[in-house]
Amino acid sequence: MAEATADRRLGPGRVYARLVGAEVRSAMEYPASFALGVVSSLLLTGLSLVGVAAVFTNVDELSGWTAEEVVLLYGLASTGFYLTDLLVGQLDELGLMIRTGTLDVLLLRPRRVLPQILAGDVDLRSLGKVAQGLVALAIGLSLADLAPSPAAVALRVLVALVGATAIYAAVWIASISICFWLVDSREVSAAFTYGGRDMSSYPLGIYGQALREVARFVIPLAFAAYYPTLGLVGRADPLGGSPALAWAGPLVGAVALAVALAVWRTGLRAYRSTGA
Amino acid sequence: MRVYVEVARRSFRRFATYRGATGAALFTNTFFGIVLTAVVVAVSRERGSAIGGLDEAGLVTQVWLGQGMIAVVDVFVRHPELMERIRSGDVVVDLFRPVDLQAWWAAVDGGRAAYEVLVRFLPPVTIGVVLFGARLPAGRDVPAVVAALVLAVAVSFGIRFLAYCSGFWLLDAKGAVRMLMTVWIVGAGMTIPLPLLPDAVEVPLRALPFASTIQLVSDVWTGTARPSLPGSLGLQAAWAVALIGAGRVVQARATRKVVVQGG
Amino acid sequence: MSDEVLIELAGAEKVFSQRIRRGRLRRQRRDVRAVDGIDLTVRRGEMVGYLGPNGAGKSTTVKMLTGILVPSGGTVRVDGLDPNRHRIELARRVGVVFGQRSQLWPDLPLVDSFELLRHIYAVPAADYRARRAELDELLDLGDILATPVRQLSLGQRMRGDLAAALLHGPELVYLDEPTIGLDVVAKDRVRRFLAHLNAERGVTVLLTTHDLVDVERLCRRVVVIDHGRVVHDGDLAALVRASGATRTVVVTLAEPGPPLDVPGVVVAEVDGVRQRLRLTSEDVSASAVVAAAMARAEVVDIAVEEPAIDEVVAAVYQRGLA
Repeated sequence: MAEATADRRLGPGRVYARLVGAEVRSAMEYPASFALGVVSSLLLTGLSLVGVAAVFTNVDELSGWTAEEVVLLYGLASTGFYLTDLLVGQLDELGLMIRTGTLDVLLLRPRRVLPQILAGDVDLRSLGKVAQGLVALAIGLSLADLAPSPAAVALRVLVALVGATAIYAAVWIASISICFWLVDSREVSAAFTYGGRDMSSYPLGIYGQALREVARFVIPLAFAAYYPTLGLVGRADPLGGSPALAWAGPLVGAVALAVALAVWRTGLRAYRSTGA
Repeated sequence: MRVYVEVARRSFRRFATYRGATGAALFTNTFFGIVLTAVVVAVSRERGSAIGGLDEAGLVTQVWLGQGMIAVVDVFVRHPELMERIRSGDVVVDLFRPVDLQAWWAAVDGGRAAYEVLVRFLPPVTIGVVLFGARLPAGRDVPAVVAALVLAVAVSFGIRFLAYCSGFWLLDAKGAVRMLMTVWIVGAGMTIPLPLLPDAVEVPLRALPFASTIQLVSDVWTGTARPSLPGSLGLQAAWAVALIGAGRVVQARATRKVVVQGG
Repeated sequence: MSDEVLIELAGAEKVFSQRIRRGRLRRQRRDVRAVDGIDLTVRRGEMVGYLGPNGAGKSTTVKMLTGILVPSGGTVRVDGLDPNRHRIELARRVGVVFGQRSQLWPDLPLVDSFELLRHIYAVPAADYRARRAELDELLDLGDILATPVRQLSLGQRMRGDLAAALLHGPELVYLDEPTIGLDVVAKDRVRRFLAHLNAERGVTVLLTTHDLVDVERLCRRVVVIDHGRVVHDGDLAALVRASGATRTVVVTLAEPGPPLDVPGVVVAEVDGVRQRLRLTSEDVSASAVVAAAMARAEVVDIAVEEPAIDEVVAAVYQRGLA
């Protein structure tokens, strides 16, 4: 009887851990294929890094930023983005789940829908993409002129990654929710997620006024990598932002996530009202 | 021959009925177009001189052409029906029909590409021209542009057909196709227009078939075809022939394999 | 069967707004009333057959009962609770099997799906073990537990889905076409299992099906819906009466002959020596028909057939709202 009650409430965390554990175990069953998958993800996303670097074979600076600084910016954005991909990338299947009725199966279970989706089908090969981001980050950190002390740098990077992951996750969740209204608008979501990644990989200064405002106030991509990088290289924001913004990532991310979850819930409610 | 024309026409009509996704796709193209435009403009202004023979407007033009071409040459492999049929084994039925498999799918792809040119190519290019200063081709280059476009579709079909046929031998054709897609995106000048890459990298990339699907079309459009206009078209044609030829060989092998294994 | 009401639908409605294309550009909104005022009460312990032609609103009803869809009007209550507001709480006590869509994880072995569901439903270890033992035996799952679900035959997968739906010991089960596509042996096994579930365990069952033999064997009570409304709600015998379908007397003659002219029948078929005499109404006595037939010809053998159940249901559908 005691065993029964102790087992009763398996929180979502434990269930998530078990489901991910199942993924890890099946990946470990074919370690060679898994390793190949990780390495190829790393190399393939690395091509984007090469692209960024290649830009600087034509110029010495971009919007006043040197190559090392842009690589650092890219590294932060990329690492944060692919961490998010690992955690919430499964959401890309939402349109398919709606079309095939798999979403209904999730609604039958005594669990919230979003955690169930996130716990399913975690693609561990995305670790290769995260590794690529870390490589870029490492290169950027070692080559760029950093202002703060090494300890402060480490802290800033950590805070930035937390913030970036939260912000990209918010963008992902909010944009994929469009599928609840327009089935299979995965392409639109990709514009915001992958487009957002690309956008935050370059200094904000290259974008027009309108886009810059959007990146600061509407979809707060500027807080994911741009402001933190300004803080790391010790530069003032040419647009007049305070140095404290470099630390604002996690807070902005939390707010963004709250908004995104509200959008998600509204979408799910709409789906349940109109049916498939 | 008539069969294939019919197939192409029906394919065109089938795609014409999928209205919904177009708006979403245009939005996506526009977003990426805006980001890439900002990057190339920044680079061009910083450089102050032409890059790869392209001035600022020329680079912007290539960005929007790239966005327009994505769907036409199906870089993101959005229509892998043949791959599905090979995986499920249904393709066996196709191989024994008195219609050539490759020609059939080429006709289907032709119909699709024709539709995408109207609906997925013209809008982004128009946006680029109207809002971002992209250029239209010189009058005398228009026939060459059309030729380059047609050849690009042919080359892209050649690539995709071979990739799908890998499914006859590989268990995980999808994984191979995904890897192909990434190489294709880079090689075609989608991650960054090829003229921006250093010569040491750009020259070998141009020689690969991927560049023939997008970059070379852009070059003809902006009048910067290398080494010359006929040379560029010739390279596209050569790849089209080589890839489609290879496809025929692969198809014959696959048919033999299927016969031997009994499907 | 108790008196306690478990499911209650009162004036339940579900309206879908469809946009259909008329011609090249114009789009029209059209309201589809998938469920158009259903009143239905199911008590604890009942096994109710839920019939209707395709598009009648059966799946929509189940979706409203499980909280997947929100009703457009009327009320839906399961054990007094609104499934829309109490989806998660009710989900713990309800099991669902969709005939055409599996709940199992396709790439994992069957037993892994059970383990995952165990955690999702927070089933206590002892209960889980006991239930697994019983289900494995009743549904004969032993051989297929290690097989990836993807590789199971339809019948095996269905048994797996049934077990999966019952692992958490639900008091109420919705089965949507559970025998579809199964061979005769598998259907029989599933039917016997369901009968046991209801009779021995008191599990309330709402069985949506097109397979009328399921209904015959399992359901004392049959609810027929059409165009989103209930057109019949009663036991099977009442359904037969309501349909107006009649019995058939089959006579085998000594030698082939012309159709017998017997009052109160219509000769439905003449097949060599056998003739099928369909009674024209309830009031015609089968024995009188037999006697009349024997008076007119040399009858070697007779049989009396109840109306085929598909006829019964078809007749009810055709009659629509009585």
